Amino acid sequence: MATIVFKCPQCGGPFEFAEGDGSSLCRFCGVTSVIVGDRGVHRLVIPERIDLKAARTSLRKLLAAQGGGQDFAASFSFNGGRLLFLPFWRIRGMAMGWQWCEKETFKEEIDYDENGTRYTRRIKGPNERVFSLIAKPLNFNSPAGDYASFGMVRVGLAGDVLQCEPMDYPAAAARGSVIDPLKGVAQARQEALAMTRDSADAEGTVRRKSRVRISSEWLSLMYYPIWNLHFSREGRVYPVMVDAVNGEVIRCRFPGGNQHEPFLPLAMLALLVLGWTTMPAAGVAATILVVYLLKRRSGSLDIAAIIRLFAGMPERVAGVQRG
Amino acid sequence: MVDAAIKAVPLICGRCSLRMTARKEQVVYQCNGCGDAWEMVQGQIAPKKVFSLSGTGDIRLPFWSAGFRIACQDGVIADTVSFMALCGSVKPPGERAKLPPELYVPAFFLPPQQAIRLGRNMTVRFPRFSESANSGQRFEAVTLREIDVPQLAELIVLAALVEGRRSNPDFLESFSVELSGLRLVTIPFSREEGRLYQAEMNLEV
Repeated sequence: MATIVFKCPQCGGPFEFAEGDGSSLCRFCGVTSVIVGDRGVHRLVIPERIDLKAARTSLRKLLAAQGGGQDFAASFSFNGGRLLFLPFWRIRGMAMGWQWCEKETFKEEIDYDENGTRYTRRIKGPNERVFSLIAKPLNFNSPAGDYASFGMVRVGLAGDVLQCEPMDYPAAAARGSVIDPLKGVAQARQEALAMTRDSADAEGTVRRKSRVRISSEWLSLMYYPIWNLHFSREGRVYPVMVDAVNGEVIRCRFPGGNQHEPFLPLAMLALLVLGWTTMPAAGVAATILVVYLLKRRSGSLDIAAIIRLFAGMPERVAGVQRG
Repeated sequence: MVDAAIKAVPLICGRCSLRMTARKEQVVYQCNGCGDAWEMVQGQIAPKKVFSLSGTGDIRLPFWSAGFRIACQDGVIADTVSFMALCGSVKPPGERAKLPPELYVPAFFLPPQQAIRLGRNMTVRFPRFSESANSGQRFEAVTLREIDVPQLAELIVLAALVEGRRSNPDFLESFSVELSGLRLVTIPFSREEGRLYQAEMNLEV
């Protein structure tokens, strides 16, 4: 669970409490304080750990590693970036209620045919009606809007180990743009309950009725920091999303460059001629080496790619894409 | 300190100004000095009325208690005698026959299944207690919020009903429990061989 760092209201010293706790003891002044959210909602922010420069470096490293070297990375110019705080709902508590379902039942019967061969028959029995009480822990995260274009589709539980702070809107707005939640808490609760219902055992279920509610709820609206960077090349702008906590590039799409290798086919031909004119064994070895090089270059022995290579035509390298 | 997003309120007794201590999941706080109970209401500490039910025992366990009525496909069940019939109880209802049935929801920490079982056992035993305002008697930590009582109450009442009712989907869909006069009460239990025992109800926790 996330740890929230706060200031003791009595002595001003730093004091921590875990997400879900109702109160916490200050280790400096020994006063216990109760944590209260604004109208029941704890608004928290995960502070950014990397700055703009580090985010830019992270993207350049990816371009160099996957796009074809430092020259490719340097061909894009950096046009600036801004920090975004994307909100997501987090609900912890208990899902409590009842579930009634009608299930098919089967029984297996062993029988023998006229040849004496044993076989098993599956016979459908009467439907079974099962009533059960539901009481299970709920731990739900969901983006508070459609942020797929920012690279945020769902929020993983890795966020559990992160340290949070109470959301200070003016301070966050001074560092970046705070995005308003589009999805309300009622919708987030419905999604959480739907997840609980869907996770129930559905095998052989013909009919199901249930009523589940959230109990002991600890509701928080968390803001996650993401760097939105812009790069350009040849008049075209490429947006990039970088996770501002771990520096991972979460969304980008760059075109690949053109690759032209005029000497490779010449070298291969020279190797084949030299091998086959020396002795048959050397020719076989040269052929194997050439085939290996061709396969390594493009991943498969694609005839069209081999013809393009030997014809001296430039080839398009796959672009760099994430998210 | 007041913050727009989150607020921490120091636990200081509003009567004797002593510091109060609390467990992380506690929702009603009792002063070690004067014994008064407090709760958080709209971000402010406010007094909480706690009632003590009679009986013998060395430890007081808190329960949310309320009268209740059931709405279901058969109509509204609002008295003890009709509720007893729904539970399949043959116990004579006595003087409570026409009064609303009484529900007990454990307010101290128990795993949900155990809380439902204990609440059901107490509710179907129709206990009769005399009560008084709590005069500083210590009680176990209250961890169930008042707002969460209706959810658990519905499951406790459902658990008390006869099996035939619970297997009927139409009955379940129409079923709801309405609470009235919800209050926090403490009931004395005795410690016996590592368990808690309530003599008047012959009940073990």
